[in-house]
Amino acid sequence: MSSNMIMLKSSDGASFEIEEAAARKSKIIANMIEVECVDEDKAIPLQNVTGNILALVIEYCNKHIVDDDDDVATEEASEEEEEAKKKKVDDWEAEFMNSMSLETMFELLLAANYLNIKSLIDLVCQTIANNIKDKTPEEVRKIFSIENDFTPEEEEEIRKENAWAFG
Amino acid sequence: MMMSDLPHDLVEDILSRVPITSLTAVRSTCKRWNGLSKDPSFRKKHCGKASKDSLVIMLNGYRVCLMSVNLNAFNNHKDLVAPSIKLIGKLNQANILKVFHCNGLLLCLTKEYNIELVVWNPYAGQPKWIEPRITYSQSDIFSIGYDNNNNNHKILRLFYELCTYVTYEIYDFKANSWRVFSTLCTTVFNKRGVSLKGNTYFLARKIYKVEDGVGDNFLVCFDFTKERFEHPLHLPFNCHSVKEDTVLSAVRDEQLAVLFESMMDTHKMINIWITTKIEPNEVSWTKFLAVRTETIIDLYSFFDTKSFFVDEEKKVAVICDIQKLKPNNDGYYHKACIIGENEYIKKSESWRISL
Repeated sequence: MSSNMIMLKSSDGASFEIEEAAARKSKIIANMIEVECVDEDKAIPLQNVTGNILALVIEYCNKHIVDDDDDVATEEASEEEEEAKKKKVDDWEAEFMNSMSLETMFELLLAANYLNIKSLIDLVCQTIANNIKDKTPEEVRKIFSIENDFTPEEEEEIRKENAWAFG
Repeated sequence: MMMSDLPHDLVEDILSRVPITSLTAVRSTCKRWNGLSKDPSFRKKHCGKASKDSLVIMLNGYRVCLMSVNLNAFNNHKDLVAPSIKLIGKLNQANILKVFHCNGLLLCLTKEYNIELVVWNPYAGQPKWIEPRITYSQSDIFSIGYDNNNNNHKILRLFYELCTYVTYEIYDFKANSWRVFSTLCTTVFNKRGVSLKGNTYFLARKIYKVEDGVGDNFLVCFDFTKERFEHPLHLPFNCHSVKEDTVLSAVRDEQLAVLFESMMDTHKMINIWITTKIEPNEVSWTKFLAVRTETIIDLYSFFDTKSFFVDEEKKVAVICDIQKLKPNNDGYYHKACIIGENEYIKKSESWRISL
């Protein structure tokens, strides 16, 4: 397996070396490599991503190149091995997301969106959504620092509508 | 950096992953989220990301309940995780006697002295009460469907007048009123119909005449676009006896399934067929499951199947409302069971539900 290394440069000037296979998780970078606008000696500038967020993105991509390689060999792997592997990735992802604040999650989501890494967008969105599950509106507002902009009349109206929703 | 700094489509992506039972909290949080959650594009996204478990609407103690059904354990025999049927949402707003659905709209009859009819979309809330032309009765047959020409939902109400005429009336959501049709009564409709692709299918038989004897059961479609009953369609079995039981069910919104419970010499059989083609004027069937009931239920219990549904891929059927004698013999309680291929059966001991 070739392990071409490419360089990425964050908006605040930090440089990161990453395996091409990992970098290809980003559709944007994969496209750049395809049309050969990547100069081997020059770093790819990523103007919308800061160094600390880019480090997280790279950590995620490095963890997930292995899985893609394995996809080719799945025919051989037994069901149990598959499940064990999936559980390992799930556990890693849970811990990865657990280690960061909501604010970091939002920044990571913007970066994943900009770099077009579908699986990372899914992971971050799902983790943020899990923060809303089974919470009251007050709790949700507190977690996300959202101001209640309803008038009492509007609140009453919403309450009436919601009476006919599953709760 | 806050949630409000994210672009619209990312906020939508996040909120569309919140389970349906937490959507009320999303709507009550702020104006932006409330508006977003009512957007058709949000609903579409939300449905696409819904959990892989089947969601089933059931009635339990006159409450409309949203149940999550996971039949995965059937695929994996070494796995000890039992198939689960759990309550994930409940509507406490009214006592409901019957519930029907079509394209995500629910039609309910309330269990009050004066029966009321209400339609709503569980995603949007906002119930709409439908005023009767003449007072609703418990024996009325209702169904909800969709008119493809006018892109409009309609309600069908069916009742008998003097045993010689079938009167049916159609409520049009655009016109906000009932229109009455009457036809000579030659057909008796069994139980409730099942909505499929905007139309409703009923089990029926010809009215009893001494010279003809008891007629066979057949299937008949009410076409909501043409506003009429179509020609009788054949069922994959013969059903003559009153002891035998037939129930319809929809398989996703694509096919129809029929459950037929029959007495053999020494035992009862449950047979289920699924359509391979179903149109208002055409039907073909294929056998799905056949199970001897004594392998499912213990002594002193019997089936009165009121409803069931199937999972084609996993080759299982969930049958609701089996009556079983209570241990102290003072009445019956209701339960559901899951039946599968090769008579492989699992009872859902923990789950009792009346329908």
